[in-house]
Amino acid sequence: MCMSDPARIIEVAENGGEAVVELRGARRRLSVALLALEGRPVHPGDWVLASAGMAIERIDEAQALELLQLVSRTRDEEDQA
Amino acid sequence: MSRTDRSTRRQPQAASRPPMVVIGVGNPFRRDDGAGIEAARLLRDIVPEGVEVFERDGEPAALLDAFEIAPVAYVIDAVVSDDPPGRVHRIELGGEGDAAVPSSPRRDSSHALGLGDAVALARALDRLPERLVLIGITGASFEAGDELTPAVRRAVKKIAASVARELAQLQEAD
Repeated sequence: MCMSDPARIIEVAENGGEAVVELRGARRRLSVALLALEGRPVHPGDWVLASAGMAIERIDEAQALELLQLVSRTRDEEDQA
Repeated sequence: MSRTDRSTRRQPQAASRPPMVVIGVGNPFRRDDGAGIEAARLLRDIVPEGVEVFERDGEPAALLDAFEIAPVAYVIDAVVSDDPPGRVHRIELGGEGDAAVPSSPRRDSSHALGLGDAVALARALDRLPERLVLIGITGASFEAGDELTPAVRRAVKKIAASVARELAQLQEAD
């Protein structure tokens, strides 16, 4: 199982603490307050690592795509097992 | 909360029991002694759902009660040490062990007891959480006042962020 999933920011709430993201093919709400506290606010189009309903780290698009590939490969293997 | 009977205390948890708690300890009117309280206030907005955050003044009985709320507890407190202000000390106890706990700055308290006393008491009474993480932030000033010194303020913010990250990863791994 993958501990953190890449998520793409769609929309950020006005207070900067929550965002709508695309995660595992669905739109979900994610807390982005931790990154905001660190002075690293996120914007639509940014990629983050999501864990337990929170964005815990910012990643760049190349890292995100690589992780997504890895996640889908792992799931395929699990499905075949 | 009254002391619960030992035989019932380690029973499987009710569904409503939080998996983890964070306890900020200190006195926000004694400058850097408020480091743990400030960390708790920051953490309240950034912990994963289900994690409970408390503020306590360090009184051992109240800490012992907070220890029993969840199997995993993080405690953040200011400490007195010869290190530069803002230096972070971390001690993990897995329910057993004898790690020494740095002294707390509660000199003004009528109880005159610190976190180390609470931990020793909890251990003696078999009331330590399954996993207890103690985070101490070295303070510079414990004079009257409600502002943290700059190095401690920076350390508090960093600690809050790193504890939130750790909790998210623990929760996800469960």
